[in-house]
Amino acid sequence: MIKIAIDTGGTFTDYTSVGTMSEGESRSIFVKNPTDHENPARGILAGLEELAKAWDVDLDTLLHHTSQISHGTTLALNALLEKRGVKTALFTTEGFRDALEIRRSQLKNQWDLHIEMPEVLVPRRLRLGIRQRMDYKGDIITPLDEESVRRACAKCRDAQVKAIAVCFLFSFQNDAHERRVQEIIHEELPDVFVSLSSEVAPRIREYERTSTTVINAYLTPVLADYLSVIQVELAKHGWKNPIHIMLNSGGLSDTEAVNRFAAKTLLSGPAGGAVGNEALCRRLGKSHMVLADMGGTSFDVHVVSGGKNALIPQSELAEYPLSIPMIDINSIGAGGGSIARVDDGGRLLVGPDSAGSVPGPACYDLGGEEPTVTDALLLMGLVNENNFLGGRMTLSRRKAETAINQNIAEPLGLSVMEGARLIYRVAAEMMADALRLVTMQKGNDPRFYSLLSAGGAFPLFAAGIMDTLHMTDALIPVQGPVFCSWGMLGASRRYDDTRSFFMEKSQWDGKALARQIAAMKRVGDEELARLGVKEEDRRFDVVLEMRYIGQHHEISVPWGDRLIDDSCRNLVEKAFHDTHESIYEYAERDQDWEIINLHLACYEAMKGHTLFHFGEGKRVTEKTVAGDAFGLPGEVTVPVYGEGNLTRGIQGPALIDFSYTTAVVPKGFIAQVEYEGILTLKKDGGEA
Amino acid sequence: MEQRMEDIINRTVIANRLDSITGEMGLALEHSAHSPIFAEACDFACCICDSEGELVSQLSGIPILATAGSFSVKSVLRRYGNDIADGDVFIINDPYDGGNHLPDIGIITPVFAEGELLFFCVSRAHHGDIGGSTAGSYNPKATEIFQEGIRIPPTRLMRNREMLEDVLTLIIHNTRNPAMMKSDLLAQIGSNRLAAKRIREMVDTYSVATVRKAVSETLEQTEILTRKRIAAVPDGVYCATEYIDDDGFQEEPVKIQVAVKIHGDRMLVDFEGTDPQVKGFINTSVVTATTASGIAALWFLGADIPRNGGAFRCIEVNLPKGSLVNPNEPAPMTLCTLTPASEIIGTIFQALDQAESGRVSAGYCRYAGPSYYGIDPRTNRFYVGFSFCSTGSGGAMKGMDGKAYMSAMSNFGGVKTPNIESNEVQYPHLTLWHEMDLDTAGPGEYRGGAGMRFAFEIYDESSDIVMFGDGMKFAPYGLRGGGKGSLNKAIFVHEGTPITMESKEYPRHVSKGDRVYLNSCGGGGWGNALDRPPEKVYNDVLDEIISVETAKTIYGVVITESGVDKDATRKLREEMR
Repeated sequence: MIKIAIDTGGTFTDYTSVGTMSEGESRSIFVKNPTDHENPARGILAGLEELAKAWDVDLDTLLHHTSQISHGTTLALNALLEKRGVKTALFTTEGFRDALEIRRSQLKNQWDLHIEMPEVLVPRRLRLGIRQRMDYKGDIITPLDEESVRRACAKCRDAQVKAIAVCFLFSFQNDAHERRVQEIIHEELPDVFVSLSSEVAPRIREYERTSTTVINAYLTPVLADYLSVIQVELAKHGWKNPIHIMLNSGGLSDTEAVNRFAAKTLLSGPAGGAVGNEALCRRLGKSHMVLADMGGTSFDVHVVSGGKNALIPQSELAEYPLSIPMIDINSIGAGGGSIARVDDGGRLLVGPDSAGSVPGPACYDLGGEEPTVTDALLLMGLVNENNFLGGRMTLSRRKAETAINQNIAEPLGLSVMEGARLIYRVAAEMMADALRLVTMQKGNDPRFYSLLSAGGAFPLFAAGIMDTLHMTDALIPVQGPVFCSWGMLGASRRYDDTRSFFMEKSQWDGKALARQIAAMKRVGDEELARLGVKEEDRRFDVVLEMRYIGQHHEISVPWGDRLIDDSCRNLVEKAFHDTHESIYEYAERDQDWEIINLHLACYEAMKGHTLFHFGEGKRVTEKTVAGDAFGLPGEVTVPVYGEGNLTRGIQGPALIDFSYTTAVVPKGFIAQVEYEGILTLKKDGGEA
Repeated sequence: MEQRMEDIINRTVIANRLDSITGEMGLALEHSAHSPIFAEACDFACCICDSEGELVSQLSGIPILATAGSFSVKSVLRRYGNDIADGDVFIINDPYDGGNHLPDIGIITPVFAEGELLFFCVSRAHHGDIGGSTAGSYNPKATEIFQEGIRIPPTRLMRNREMLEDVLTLIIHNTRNPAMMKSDLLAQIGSNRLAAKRIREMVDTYSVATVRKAVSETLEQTEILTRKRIAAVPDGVYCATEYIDDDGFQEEPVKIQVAVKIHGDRMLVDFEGTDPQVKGFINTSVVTATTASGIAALWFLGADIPRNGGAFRCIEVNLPKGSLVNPNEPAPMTLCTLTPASEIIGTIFQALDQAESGRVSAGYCRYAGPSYYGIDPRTNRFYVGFSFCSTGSGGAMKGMDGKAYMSAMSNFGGVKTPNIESNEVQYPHLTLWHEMDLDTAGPGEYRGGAGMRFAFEIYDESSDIVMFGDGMKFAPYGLRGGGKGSLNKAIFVHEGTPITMESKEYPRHVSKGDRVYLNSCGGGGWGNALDRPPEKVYNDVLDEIISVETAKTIYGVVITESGVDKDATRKLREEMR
C-alpha cells in the first residue's frame, strides 16, 4: 500500500508518497504543484492527479492502493494572517471585556510612535460581559446569571455571529460556568461554533488564554468547511477513510478532533519538518540536528537535541499570543524573496520585508522592483535562469541587475556584482546568526550539531554556514525541497493534554500527582484508541511545569513515562533545579518550588520514515560563477554534477543539481553519500 | 573594495549579534526573576556598553531606562578606574551618581577578551522594596533621599567570580524582603553572565580588533545619521511649558519649561526657566532628565535611528543646577522615571511639533495608582506590589487614534501590565472591574485612547496602601486643535466611607473589605473633532467608547436608532464651526 502526504504552503503544495502499488519494489515519488489560493480543495485534487500521473495510474487507482493520507495546511495560519476568519463574538466575565484589545500594553517596538497594533479579532461591540465570577481557587463568588447569557446570545443573533469564544476568569480552575454557557448557546444558537477557554488552553493568564480561544473560534469554521470539501471530493474518487491532519505538536489527528480545534493546526506545515528532523536524526543515529528550511519569505530553524523534539507551551504568531503547546520553530525573515536595502545610516539590511511570490523578486519580472536574495543568487550564477523551479519559470537577469544597482551598489559605492555578493554574504551571516542563537538557547554548542538542509535555496548556503559555525557536517536529503511533507509521511498519531495543577514542595503529595496523571492518561488512552492506535504502540510523556515559589514564569521539566509516587520528591526537585540551571545559568537549591501545570503527550510509537533514493545519472557540465559561495576570490568555473553522479565523493569547488534545488560544494569540502538519499558535506580531511 | 565589503559585513553582523545578546539577557531576566515588578511587568533594562561606558546595544525595553546603563558604567569607571578585573561584578543605584532612581539597581559585569577590557554587560531592574520609610520603594512624602531607601554608590559585589557576601548581606539586610532581593540580584547576575559568555564566543570568531572597529564604526554611522536628521529640521528655537499637579506638599503646580534650539546639525534641549527643586519626590536625577530629553528628540527624529551612544551624544541638554531637573543633594526623587520624565517628554513633543507637524503624539496618560503591602493571609508571606493595571491610555497622532491602555510616555511600550489572574494569585485582592471607560478619550479628528476604569477589594487586614502619581489636576494635552484626555481619579472606600484620594499621599491603613476605585487618563486628541468622519464616531458609539451625547455635543454627529443622521450632522457641524 501507499502512504501520501500533502503539505500546502504559501506558494507551492508538495505531494510526497511512498509504498508499493501492487507487487514489487517500494517506490518513493514526490511532486510540487502551485497552491490554488482561490479554491484550495480543487488545487489539492489537481495535485493528486499529478502525483497519480507520476505513478503511471489514474487518481482512483492511486487512492485505491493508498492506506493513509496525511495533510499539513497553512489554511488556518493564512486565514489568521489575512483576517479571513468568521465573524466571532467573545463572552467574558462582566467588567473584563477588553483584555484582547489592551494587550497587556506591550508594543513590539517602543522606539516607533507610529507603530500599528495588530487588528483586534473581535470588535468591542461583540465582546460581551456575562455576570459570573470565580476566585483564584475556582470557588464561585458570583453565580452564573443565565439571563445575561441569553441576552448576549440575542446580540449575536442580530449581528449574525458564526462563532463564539467563551473565556471567564479562573475557568482553568473550574470550568462549570463555561460548560453551562456552552449549553445555553447551543440551545439559543444551534448553528454557532463555540470554543471554551477551559478546553482550548486551560492555563492561568487570561489575556493569553482569551487570545488563543478567540483565534480558535475565529478559524475553526473555516478549516472545518475546507476539510469537509476535501473529504467530499476525495470520496468521488473512492477514498472513504478519514484524512489525517498534522498538528502543531508534530502529531497527526483526524478531522473529528481538528474540527473543534483549528488553533492546533496553525503550524501544521512546519511541524512536518520538525517530525522529519527528529526521524532522520534517530535514523542516522545522531542526537543533535538542526533543520534549516529556507523558503520564499522566511527562514525556519528547528532543533532536535538529545534525539527528541520538545514542545514549547506558549508562543506568538502574527503578534497574537497562543497558549497551546507547539513545536519550537524559530523564524526569521530571510527567505529567497527577502528584500535587501541600504538604510539612511548606510547599513545593508536583508529582510524582514519580503517580495513574496507576487510580485516576487525583481528577476521574476512580475513588477517587483526591489532587490532580493534570489536576484543576488541569479547574478552570482548560483540560480539557473532557464531552469528555475524545475523549469516552471524564466528569470530576468536585466531586472535583477537594475534592482541591485539602484538600491544597493550605487548607494554603497560598489559594483553590481559586489552588491549581489554583499547580499549573499549578509543573508548567509543572518542565517548563521539565527542558527547560532537557536542552538545556543537550547544550551548547546552548534559544533555538536549536524545541519540538515531543506527548502529550495538553502543548499546554496549550507556548507558555508556549517563552516562558519564549525558544525560537524551538512546533510542535503534528496527530498529536501519537500521535506515537511516527507516528515508528515511517517508522523505518528498524537493527543496532548495540559491541566492546571498546583502543588508546593511543602505540600508534596506524590499520590495526588499520580492520580491526576493517571486520569489524564485515561483520556489520552481513549483518544489514541479512537484514532486507531494499537495498545502496544501507545506512548506517554509527562512534563511538569515548575517554578520557584515567588517566580512568575514556569519552566518545562521533562519527566518522561516514569512512575510518580510519594518517594519521588527528591527526584522531581533535582530535575527542576538542573533544568533551571541549564536555562538561566543559576539554580537556588535551597529555595522552595512548586508545580503549576501538568502536560501529557500521548502518541503512537514512531514507525520510522522511509528514506528516498537519488535519481538517474547525468552528464557533467561546467558553469562560471562568483566565487564567494565556494570560498574563492573572483569568478570561478566549476563542474556541475547531477544526482546520479554521486556514487563516489566529489571534491569542491563544484555544483550539484537536484530536481528543484542546487547544492554548493565549496573548495576544501567533499560531498559524498554516507546515507541513502542524503548528500553529506564535510570539510576535506575531516572524518569520513 | 574587498576591505570595504568586509567592513560592511562585520559591522552588520556584529551589531546584529550584540542586539541578539541583549535580547537574550532580557528574556532570561524576565523568566527567572521573582519580583512581580520585573518578572510580570518587565520593569528592567539590559544593555552592553564599550570599555568607555558608551552605549553600544540595548534591549528593546523601557525607554526611560535607555541611557541609565551607560551613566552607571561611567560611574563605576570613575570610582574604580584601573581596579577592574575579570570576574568582578559591580552594583549601583544612587541617582546622584550614575543611577536614575533608587529602586532601579544596576548590576554591571565587565567582559575581558585577550586580556583587555572590552565591554560591560549591564542590567538595571526595579526591585520591589529597597528599604526606606515606606514599603514598596515609592514614598510620596519623603523630603530627603535617605527616606526613600538604601543608597548604593558604585560598589564591587563579586571578585574572582565569588560573591562578596558581606556586601550582599549589608544591602539586602536594609530591605523588607531580603530573600526576594537576593533572588532577583542573582537573576540579574545570571543574565549578565549569559551575555558575557555570548560576547566571548563572538570574540573567538572574530577578534578584539575587528569587534572594536565594527562597534566604533556603528556608533559613528549612527551619529552621522542622527546629525543628518537634525539638520533637516528648520533652524529655530521652539518653546513649550507643562505643569505637574504639585509635589505632594505645596498646592501650586510645578513648571517645566523647555526651549529646543536647533542650529544646523546640533540640537540643544534647554530647561532654563524650569522651577527650582521642590520638597517632594518629583525632582529628577540628571540621568532621567538627560534620558527623557534624548528619547523625546529621537522619537521625533525617526524610529529607524539605532538607540545607541552615537545617537544620544547628538542631543545636548542644559539642566540648571538647583532646578527640578538637576537638584542638589539630598532632594528626594523616586517618582522621576514616571513624573516628571513623562511630562518632560510631553513638553519637548509640544515644542518640536511646532517645527514639524505629524511626527509626535498628543499627550499620553500620566500615571497614578497605589502601591500596597502587607502579610498575605493565605500564605502568611510578606508581599508588596504596584498597581500597574491602573495605567491610562495613549495620545492620538496625525492619521492614528491613540492606543488604549498605554503606560505613561516614559515607559511607552516597555512595561507589560500583569494579567488580572496573576495579580489575584499574587496579592490578596479581588478585582471588581478592569475595562475601558466611557467618554474619557481626548476628542479630535483622531481621538485619544479611552482611559480605564479599575477597582479592587482587599481582603488582607494588615495592609497599607500608598497612592502616588500625578495627572489629577493636569490632563494629557491635545495637539493641533485636539481636546485633552480625562484626568486620573481615585476613591478609597474605607469601612464603607468613600474618600477622594490625592495623587501623592501618606500611607493609609486598610481594613478587610476596603475598596479602591480608579479611573485613569484617556489620551489627548489630535486635530479638530468636527473633522472626524461621522462613521468613525458612530463606531465609537457602538463600541461604547463615547456616548450619543458626546457624539453630538463634541463631535457634532447626530446619531439615531438607525445610525448617523447625515443631514442633521452636516447642519450641526456647520453651526459648531
